[in-house]
Amino acid sequence: MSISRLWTAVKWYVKGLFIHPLVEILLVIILIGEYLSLANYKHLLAFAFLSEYILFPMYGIYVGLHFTREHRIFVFEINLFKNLNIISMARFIASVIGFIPLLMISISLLVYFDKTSLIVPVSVKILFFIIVTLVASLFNSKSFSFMFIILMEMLIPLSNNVIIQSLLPGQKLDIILSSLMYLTSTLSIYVSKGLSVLSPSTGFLIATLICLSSLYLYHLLLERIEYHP
Amino acid sequence: MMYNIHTIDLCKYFPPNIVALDKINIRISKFPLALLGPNGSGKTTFLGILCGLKHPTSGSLYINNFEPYKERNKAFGLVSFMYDKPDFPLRIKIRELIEILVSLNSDKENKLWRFVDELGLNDFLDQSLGELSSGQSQLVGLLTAISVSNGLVVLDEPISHLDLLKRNIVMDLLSKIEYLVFTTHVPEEAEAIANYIVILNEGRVIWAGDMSQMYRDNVYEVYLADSSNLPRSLKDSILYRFGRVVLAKSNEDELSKLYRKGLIIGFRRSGVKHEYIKALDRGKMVR
Repeated sequence: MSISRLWTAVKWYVKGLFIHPLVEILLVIILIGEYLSLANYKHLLAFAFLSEYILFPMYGIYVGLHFTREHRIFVFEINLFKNLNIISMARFIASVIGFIPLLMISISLLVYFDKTSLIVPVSVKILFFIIVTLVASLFNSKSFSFMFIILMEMLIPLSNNVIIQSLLPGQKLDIILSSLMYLTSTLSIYVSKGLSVLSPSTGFLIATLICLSSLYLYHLLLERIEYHP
Repeated sequence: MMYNIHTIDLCKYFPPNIVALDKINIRISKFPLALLGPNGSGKTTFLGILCGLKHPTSGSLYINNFEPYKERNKAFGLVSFMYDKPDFPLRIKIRELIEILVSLNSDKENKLWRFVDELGLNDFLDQSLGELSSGQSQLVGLLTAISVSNGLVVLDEPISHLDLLKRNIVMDLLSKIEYLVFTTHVPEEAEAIANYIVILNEGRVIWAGDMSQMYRDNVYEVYLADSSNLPRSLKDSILYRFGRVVLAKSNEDELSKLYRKGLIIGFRRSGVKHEYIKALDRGKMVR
């Protein structure tokens, strides 16, 4: 795999991601929202809920939609770069670049307010968003991709909150539900201590392994699926 | 490098019961190759398998003894392609796309700019791909396919969105590509560019051959001066009729006589059109 070819492909996928005024507005809203939630509330719940259900999904949807494209565009890109490995790697690198601003703002504020325990949950959350973005980019329909992103980044976390709220005193989430929560509602399950049979370190490890497995699956799918221009 | 394409019982089905390709067996070593057929005949599906973008349901297709859908990166390196429905909602300018093409294919830079000039893209270099008309997008697609090709060039309906002037320029360009495979549903386009033609209908090959086979029958396209006044000498030899244009078995002397009498306004030897219509004939044409 040629590095220069890969870098050209990365630049292709990043093109246009940060120049739209909407992204600047989103990042300012995220900065203000996270700052206020950390500055005015002692408990991390405020930061977790605001970020998990509103701020992060907004940004995740914007980045996700940038990478979704119908197969006729994808076929154009295959003809351009001539190699599916390059395209797969370039999309991954480009989506990581896409989420760097969100990661930087969140980590900077967490360090500033000395809430560094949330850095790992935030990082796992963003890793999950990257995977959702990549999987959504494989569908041959922008509408379907959009629905998939909304489902994984917004609706499932909101549903998880209902489950958390409905737990009886002393009741804990089992391993499977806990793993799902650590994957999709990373911040909420972390700040709602004691609700899971899994410790945070185990939960984040499982979530990370699921993300990495999904990344491999994404690469396999990209190499094997049919393209319908 | 020389290319040949051959298929063995190539089939492609789409659920629930669409037969896109039905036991295609062909062997091709002559280019340019035209795949001719009506909408839904299987042309684009065949191209998809040829480029490695789709897998056959059963059977095989080989380009020089390898199967492109099994060795996809090898196929993508050898085959350049462009599909119909040109529409690229991307925030990138044509100039930037060309710079990318140059950076990916630095040995072909001169050829690339020559094609930019020949395709008339100089006037649109600072427009983004998302702002282009369908014809302009098609020219951009052609540029990416033909300017940096390493071997086989595969084009799906390459001139369908172009005006007459651009169409002629592109047809002239395409006729010079050594290993070209393209689809069309217009017989005249196939005739102008191809050396070998495969006619598909409902997923089957119904005719395949080179241009010399097309002209072996004495069939002519005759243009009537008056559609209601059919010359007597043609009445029994008409094969097909489309308003003022008829396909008829005749000879040049007889047709020249009719032309001098003013009963017809012209004629030409019918090659592709006759074979195409004959192959598709299901009793729908009016005699």
